[in-house]
Amino acid sequence: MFGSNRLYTAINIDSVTGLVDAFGSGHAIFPSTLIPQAFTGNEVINFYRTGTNGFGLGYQDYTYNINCRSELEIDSLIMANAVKDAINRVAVENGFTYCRDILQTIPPQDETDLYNTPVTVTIKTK
Amino acid sequence: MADKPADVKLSEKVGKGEAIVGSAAEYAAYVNFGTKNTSSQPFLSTAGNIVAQSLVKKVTAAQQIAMHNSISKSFNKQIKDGVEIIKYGKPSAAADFGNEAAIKEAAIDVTSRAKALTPVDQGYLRNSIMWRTEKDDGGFNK
Repeated sequence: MFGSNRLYTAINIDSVTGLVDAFGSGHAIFPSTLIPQAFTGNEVINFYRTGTNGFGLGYQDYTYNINCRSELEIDSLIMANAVKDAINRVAVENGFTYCRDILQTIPPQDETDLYNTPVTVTIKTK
Repeated sequence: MADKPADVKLSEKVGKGEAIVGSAAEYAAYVNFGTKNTSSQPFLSTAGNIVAQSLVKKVTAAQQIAMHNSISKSFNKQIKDGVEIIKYGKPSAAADFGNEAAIKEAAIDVTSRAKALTPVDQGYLRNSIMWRTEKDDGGFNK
């Protein structure tokens, strides 16, 4: 909703899916704030919307956080960079996406957590 | 963990025309971005995005007000050697003043919105959200 499908399509490409674990019949890319408990791997992406604006101006900006999580800090950064390449200045259905930031990597909260490098992306669409 | 948020202030240095908004709570990033096991609750990201869309308007309006004040306060006419000289204020100083005012207003706006969006358990995270500009800071409950 609000661009999740477009963003999922944009990052569901070989250069990104090759860096995340498999899950079910697809890959560990989840358009939600919560990673499913059934997922037990260590290389995962989840993304969610953090802002929407521009409705009154005839266009919409949807801003998303994409969390690139990995067991190793360097792998988390590599994943974030691959995501940036996949979504920066890319045409999507009725619009385009651009990467705003690759934020500082967040260390694991505890031994069960993963390194997380958040990427901020905006989808601009009619 | 510190006894109260006011004991821990944002350590980042802030330059001219800049502002930061953040939390000194060590677990703030885990709440905002989530972990492998917990859901993201993006209180700071969302607050920043809401304010970002109006930032240009805030800066423009503050600059216009500062420019207007600068002109109206220091506007005067002088006739020197038969030539009429009109003195205005300093546009660059007015622009700087306007920038500073707008950035501060935006920082306070992000802070208040983030506080409203923060998930509250005991209130430490909400109280720890603060803003800082080059010359000023605030937001924490002492």
